[in-house]
Amino acid sequence: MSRRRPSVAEERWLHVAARQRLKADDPRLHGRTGNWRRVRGFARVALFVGGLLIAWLAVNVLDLLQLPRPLMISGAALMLASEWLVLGRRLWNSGIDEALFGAGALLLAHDIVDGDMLDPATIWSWAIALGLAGWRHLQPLFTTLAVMLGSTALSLTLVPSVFGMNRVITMQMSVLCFAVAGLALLGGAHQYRRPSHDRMLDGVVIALPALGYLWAGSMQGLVLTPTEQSWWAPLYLSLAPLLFGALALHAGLRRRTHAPLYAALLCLVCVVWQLRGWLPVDWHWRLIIWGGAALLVTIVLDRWLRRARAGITSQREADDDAAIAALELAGVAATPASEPARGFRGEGGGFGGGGAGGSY
Amino acid sequence: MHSLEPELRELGWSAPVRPAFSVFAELRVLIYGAVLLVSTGVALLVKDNLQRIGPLALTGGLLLAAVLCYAAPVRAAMRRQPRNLIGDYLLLLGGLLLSAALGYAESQYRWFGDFWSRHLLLLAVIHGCSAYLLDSRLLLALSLSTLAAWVGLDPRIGELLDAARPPTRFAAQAASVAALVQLWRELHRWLNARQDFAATFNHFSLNLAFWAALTWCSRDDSRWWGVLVLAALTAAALIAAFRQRSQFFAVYGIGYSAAGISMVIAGELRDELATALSLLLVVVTAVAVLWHLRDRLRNDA
Repeated sequence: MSRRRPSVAEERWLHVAARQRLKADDPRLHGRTGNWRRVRGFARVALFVGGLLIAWLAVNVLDLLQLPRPLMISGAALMLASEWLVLGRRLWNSGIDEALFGAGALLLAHDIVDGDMLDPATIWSWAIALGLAGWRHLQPLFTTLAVMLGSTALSLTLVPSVFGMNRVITMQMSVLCFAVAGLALLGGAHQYRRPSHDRMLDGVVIALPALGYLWAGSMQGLVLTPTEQSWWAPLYLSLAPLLFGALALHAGLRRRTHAPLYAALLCLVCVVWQLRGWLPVDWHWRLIIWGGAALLVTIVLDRWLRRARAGITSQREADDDAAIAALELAGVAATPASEPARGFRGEGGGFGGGGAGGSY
Repeated sequence: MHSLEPELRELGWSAPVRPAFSVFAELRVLIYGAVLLVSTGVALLVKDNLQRIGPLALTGGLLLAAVLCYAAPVRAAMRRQPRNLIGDYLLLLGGLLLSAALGYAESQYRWFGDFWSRHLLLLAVIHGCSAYLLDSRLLLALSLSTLAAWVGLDPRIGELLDAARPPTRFAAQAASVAALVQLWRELHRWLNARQDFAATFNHFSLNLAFWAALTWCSRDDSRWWGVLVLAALTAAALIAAFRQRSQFFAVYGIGYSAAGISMVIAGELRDELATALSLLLVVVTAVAVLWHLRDRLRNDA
């Protein structure tokens, strides 16, 4: 039994318990989870947000008390509190322990470096702090953010000011992101004993290609004048996500894992966005055509995979009724209400409204 | 990759250890994106072509598209076949297109005259009836959000911060919709309807009621009334959490009550340090209570 964190076997049993929805006191888990306690789902998110709020308020309180170095004191206190929860209460990946440690590490790093927000040393320190927090808690969100911040820190190290960015740097960063994502995709082929190690790679596989596209696309457009654009930049912007998306799709289907499939979907969004000029129609038609195409693809895939083919199916695996009901509500409430520019405005609200939002 | 096969075998699980790999979640993301794109595109189409296309052609086109979306799920329902993911989202798209068509037609023809917003009530009724006939939670959610729109509820941040729009009005509207939805839920239960809509009703009404309470808590003139309502709602949410063994209701109860108490503290205390300390205490307590409740609910390992 490990004291610092769940051993490999304990972590695997915690995942089995979560997957099979076994209760903590289930006799089949006796002696297998090392008495580690874990929170999943909505409660974990709520506890994570609570932890971030505690961190923010702790800094405020120490600042108002006019204590010297409030960031360092609060950072250290938060990390100690997190360690107490892990070592003393045997909480693991429960939202609160992760948030306190992550926020504490960031505050501590910021205090040690004490630089401007766009200073490379500051961003390096954040990346390292999040990397350490991710390593301590085996937390994919932190490790992914650390890698993303690392690319920003590296670019700022090469070019001291964000206004000094040029095409070469943004392209290098983009290539680096795609390369790291490619390595993570390759690394995903390995069988990991710890599920959390697999999840860490998943985060990089999903996020880095999109960041790579942003480096070469939007960020390049933000800092460069149009005359600096080269002929191959648009080609790269179309081909890089297309190629990575195709590779990810192949890997996801072959390995039967979800993360590369989500990465492929994100890459598809990047490609479609990049090729938006190929549809010489108004924006509303573009959206309708893209949506219609996605609808058609989904219908074809759903029908084709209704009966499992090569071990792949479109049937649902498990059903969490309450979570799905909440998601459906949130999704419908987020649908747009059409708002023509002219006409009168009545008393109807804009709550979803399903395109009849009342602003005519 | 990782595999938990050895542990699952050790558990003696009777189900196949390696069932078919499901891409259901990915297809759900794809089709939700599709519905969002089409409905946004249609909204922009209506906005940009008010004059050019003409109301009759635009309304007719939208209605035709809505009918096409409804066709397959309705046919499946008539044949008593189970509906799949695609059918669910086609129904939602059909409902959204129908809303856009009727909303646009009302703005052009003014069938209801000064009481024009009644078309939203009509839409809520249509979507509600369709939800029952076709057993669709997505259509029910659409119906509830259209009902809220009819009452005048607008949850956009810009609207909430609009000084010209009194917050108490938002609170009253949110509370009215929550009450209406609860009434509907009771009717649903009384009629012993076979559709499984309870979770949708509960999430919708509880969230709206909490928003109303928070709005009252944020105002000097209604603060203590807001606290009373907040306490009652928190009790209701926690009872629901224990009855249904649901983490969602526990988080609603604790999260919203912590937010409400924080608003009261921020409104009543003048000293910055005392406020910050009190807020810290509230959040720490909320986290501890949530953890304790979660432990008692024992939904997770």
